[in-house]
Amino acid sequence: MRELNVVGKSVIRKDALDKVLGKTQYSGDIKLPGMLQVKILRSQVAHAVLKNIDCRAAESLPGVHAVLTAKDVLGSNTHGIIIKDEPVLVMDKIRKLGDPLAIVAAETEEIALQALFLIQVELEELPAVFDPEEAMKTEGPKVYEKGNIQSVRKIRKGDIETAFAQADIVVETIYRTQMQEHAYIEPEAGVAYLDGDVVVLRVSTQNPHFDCKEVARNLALPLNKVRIVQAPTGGGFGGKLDISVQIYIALLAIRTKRPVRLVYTREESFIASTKRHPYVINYKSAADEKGNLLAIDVTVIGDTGAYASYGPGTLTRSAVHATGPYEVANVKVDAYTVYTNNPTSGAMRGFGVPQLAFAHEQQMDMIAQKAGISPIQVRLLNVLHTNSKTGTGQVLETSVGSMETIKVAQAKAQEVLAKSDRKGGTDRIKKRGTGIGCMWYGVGNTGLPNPAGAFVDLMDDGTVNLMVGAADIGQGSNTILAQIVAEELGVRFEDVLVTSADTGVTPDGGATSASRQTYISGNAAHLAAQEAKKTLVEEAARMFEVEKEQVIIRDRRVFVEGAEENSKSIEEVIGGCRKKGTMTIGHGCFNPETTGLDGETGAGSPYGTYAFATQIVEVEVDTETGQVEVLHIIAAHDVGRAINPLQVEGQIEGGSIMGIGFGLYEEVKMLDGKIKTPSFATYLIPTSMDVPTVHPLIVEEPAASGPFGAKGVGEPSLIPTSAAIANAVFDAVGIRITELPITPERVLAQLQENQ
Amino acid sequence: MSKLLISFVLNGQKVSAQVESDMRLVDFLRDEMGLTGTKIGCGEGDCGACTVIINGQTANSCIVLAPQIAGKEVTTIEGLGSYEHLHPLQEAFIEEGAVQCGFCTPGMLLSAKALLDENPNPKHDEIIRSISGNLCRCTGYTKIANAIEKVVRTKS
Amino acid sequence: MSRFEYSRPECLSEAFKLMAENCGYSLLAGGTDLMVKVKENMVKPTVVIDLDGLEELKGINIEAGQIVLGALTTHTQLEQSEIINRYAPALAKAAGIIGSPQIRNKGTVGGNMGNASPAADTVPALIALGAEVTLSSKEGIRTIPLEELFLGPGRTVLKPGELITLISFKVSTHQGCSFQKLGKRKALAISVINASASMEIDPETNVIKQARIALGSVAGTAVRVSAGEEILVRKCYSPELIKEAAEAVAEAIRPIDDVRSTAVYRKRVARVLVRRALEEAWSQLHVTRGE
Repeated sequence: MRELNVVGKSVIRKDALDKVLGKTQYSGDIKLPGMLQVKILRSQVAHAVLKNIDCRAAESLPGVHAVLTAKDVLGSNTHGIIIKDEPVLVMDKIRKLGDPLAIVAAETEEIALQALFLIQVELEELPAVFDPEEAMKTEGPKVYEKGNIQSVRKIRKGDIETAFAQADIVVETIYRTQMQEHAYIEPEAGVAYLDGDVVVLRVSTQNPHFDCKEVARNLALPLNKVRIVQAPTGGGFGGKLDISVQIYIALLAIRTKRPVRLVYTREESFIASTKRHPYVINYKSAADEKGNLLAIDVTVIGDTGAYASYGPGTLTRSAVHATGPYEVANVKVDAYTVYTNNPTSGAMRGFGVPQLAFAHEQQMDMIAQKAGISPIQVRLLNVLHTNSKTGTGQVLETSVGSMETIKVAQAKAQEVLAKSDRKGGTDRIKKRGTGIGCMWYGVGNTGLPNPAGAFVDLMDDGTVNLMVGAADIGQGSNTILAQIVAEELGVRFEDVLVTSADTGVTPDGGATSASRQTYISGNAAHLAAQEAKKTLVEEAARMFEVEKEQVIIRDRRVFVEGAEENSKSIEEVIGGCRKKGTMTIGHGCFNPETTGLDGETGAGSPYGTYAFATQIVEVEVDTETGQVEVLHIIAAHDVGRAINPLQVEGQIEGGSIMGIGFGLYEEVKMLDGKIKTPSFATYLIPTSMDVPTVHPLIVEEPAASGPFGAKGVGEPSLIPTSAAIANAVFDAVGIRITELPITPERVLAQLQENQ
Repeated sequence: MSKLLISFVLNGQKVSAQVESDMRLVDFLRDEMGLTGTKIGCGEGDCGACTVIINGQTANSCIVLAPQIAGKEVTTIEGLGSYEHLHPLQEAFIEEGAVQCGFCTPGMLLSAKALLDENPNPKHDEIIRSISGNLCRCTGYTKIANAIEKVVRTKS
Repeated sequence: MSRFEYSRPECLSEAFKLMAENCGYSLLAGGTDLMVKVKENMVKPTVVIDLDGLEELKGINIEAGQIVLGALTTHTQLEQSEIINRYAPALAKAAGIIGSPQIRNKGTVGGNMGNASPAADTVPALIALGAEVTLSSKEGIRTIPLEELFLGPGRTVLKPGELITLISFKVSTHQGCSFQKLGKRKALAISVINASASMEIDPETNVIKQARIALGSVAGTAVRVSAGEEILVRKCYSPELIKEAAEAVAEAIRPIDDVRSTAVYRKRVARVLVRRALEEAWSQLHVTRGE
């Protein structure tokens, strides 16, 4: 690949300075004159009819400015990512513990909390359902009148009956994965105020343009009278895609005519935010005696909780990715999105694929064992490559780095693990093992349009304003988008100022999710820069009297190819444009080339490109206590092209650690719809002392459709880790854990059963 | 409840202030002193986002009462460095890619500072331990440890 | 957050006076437990008495084979103390494994006991060391074995107007002690189960003269398990013997299921931790004896 000037360099992100100085203003840090504090009254029961809500005592409490219930919602009272099924404030039916009943704006948080206590709620509890398999039955409590099965995504390819009948090897296993919490360190927060007749919100969010549409709908306002500005956001991971504080602060800003502020407590964040869908996966694989995959038959049941949120999208993605990064001719998948009275499940880093990876990677290892080949061999045999057809019939034309990631990871593993004390010498209590996990991940929303836009303004002095809708939630999209534009325009990274995620200024960038911003907003920004550059190049061609194709712009100098010594400054050329009255601005929009999925067969090409990765981990199992420690993670990720290698490493490192959490420590424990672990004391994410040595390896198989060949990495980094850990545990102690997390209790129980 | 007059040193400056007896130190710093660099992540001492340094030792300011700092020396992130004079740790965090969403960063930096002030030459394990009370969800801690190690190497 | 007054007495007698005058008081040591309880509205004090001004409750001293800890000794101080690392390394280990640096800097050994969580880490180590606690009040002082301090989760025998002032234990060159913790992760982890064991031998005969085995998180309070101790006393050390003792302990305890773990797991792992504690205590004996 050609070396570039800005793209491919580990430039330092600009927002790091304010962050290390403690100057960055997250929305909870914003102080506005006369600002009121907001608190939410939430349901303490999981399923009930709301009969009456009396706020009079709360309203008369001194210091209270407003108490609102469903009747005070100005527009539609429902919101939702895909289906508008979630109440802004409950009107009639409570469907989960934590459902919002009323909101209070008061002078202080304390007064607002006191007011909550004064609100009288009358309700009639209903029988509830908390188990998704129970919920799927026709009898039993209904979360919704129309039934608890929200939807099913089907994939049907080939002839699985014949394939299974002819198979030499059949492996069937039930896997169960847990509810996981995003646990961003910054709880949900936002402020809202009126600026003339525009209501302005500054919020912690992953999708300001979606927020704008919901606020406008729920407040019956025109879209351009709502301005959502994303405040610096302290992590999202999919949990800040759904509406949290936005409607409430907008309603109260309008009602009280004062600025208002709402910051969730940690406990509230646990109770109110979405979770990773817990899954029950019935996975059946068929292979021939050599280990070639013949067919898969998979049923996935996803508990989406009380509201749909991203449920159907998640189960759809799970279905599409169920094969794993492998060629399988015969595929049957049924992926159910099921309502229960549990907390809502929605988008979480990996979006239904980590759960499937936990399954398909263990299936592959079991197939390998039966075929008498190694885990690496079975994968090399089956892995997708250029011109392979996926389970939905999509032909992968470019950028299929799966094989390369296996080889790179394997080579590194051999180097790193050769030094490892494999069997712990005479200490037979602790046993070590290695395991492999491979993954693939389609970049962008599955089979749906999800465009992003960008505006570029190349100013008179060669500096640039870049306006993108893409929300930077810490992953560094602002930085890489500036790199792309700087590269294209021939200016320096420092010359590009990014304004992002402000619906009053930036075009829609879509959600910061689906690992899509580098690919989609990156393309949009690239196209915008190309458009802005056009008049510049035309003017330079005229000045130098050459063809446009011969003009090069690099490091703010403009010259003819081959004659770099005779250059003009970029300002001079821009000046030439200005003399003629031409501007150097551009807009770009990009939507991946995809098709929808057929309703019955799932056939289609749902993504513009796919990321691939292989992770190899080494674990040590204490056979007396069942504790599993991860010693090394070797993570090879095909990102197409690393726009900023340092940031790509950061994603691989951060994601794989979250993957360890998913694999070993994290579980939202529930009892009858109530979260028993709503705090960092009981919900355990990895600390610095729980982290192994991570070896991030960047593999680049450029995507023809990506900006400078780039794809995505935000979610891939988490996806294969727990699978690799499970396989490593098997290698170490010969037991297969098919339920997440891989707790010491589960490991010890199986070890002792085997004895 | 009654207000107390307390005197203490904040980021090197002598300060006297009236504080409510039941006010948390983190709220005093953020709301009364306008120092919003100290963050609230959980309010129970389990995440370290509210870390400050009191008399040379780190503490979770969400579980310290404001009156407790009377007569003591407190350092917040605002006292670590400035645009003109970044602390070496701040520079290293920037250079090593140790900052993503940044919410854990102030607390993380102060834990690192307290370590290096006490032990300018820590081993890798000691560095890891010094930040074990600061949860980070973005970085996986590796680049944070790299940044601290860079400062240790540069100084020695 | 509830509304309360704040006081910082300068000496014990002032503290006693404040406690007598305010029946709804809470004692503030490190605050790592109290402040969380206040935040969750589990405790609603009328006044918070900050003990930080009481210098007489601070310090780690050794005198005539007796280590005396002020109740306000922080876990960081315990962990870093030369005296403790030399004479009671198990206690230094237990203190050093609590929470996080921030929590250890503030949390105190006395406060930890007063909080009376069965999961407290220094408590089993101190019980195994044969610690006694001194409780002081306006009326006088009394000293009791540490294990008698606890009545149940969050409850102690402390009377109104009484506070923990000192913790003391004897040290001997013929005693080894060990502390083992099992948590769900390596920092900021409340113990799923912890165990501490000490053995004192007769230097002439190598017979185990005394043994103490204490466990946390297996009952409503930390417990001494005499069933294991009885197997060891008056015998000579051997791997089979300590295995037997560990087994007896596992049989004797009645742990429960809770948000952290299960009774079954705790029982299984108890025998492992106790055995490991006894093994380490034994090897530590040889270290202190300079072998």
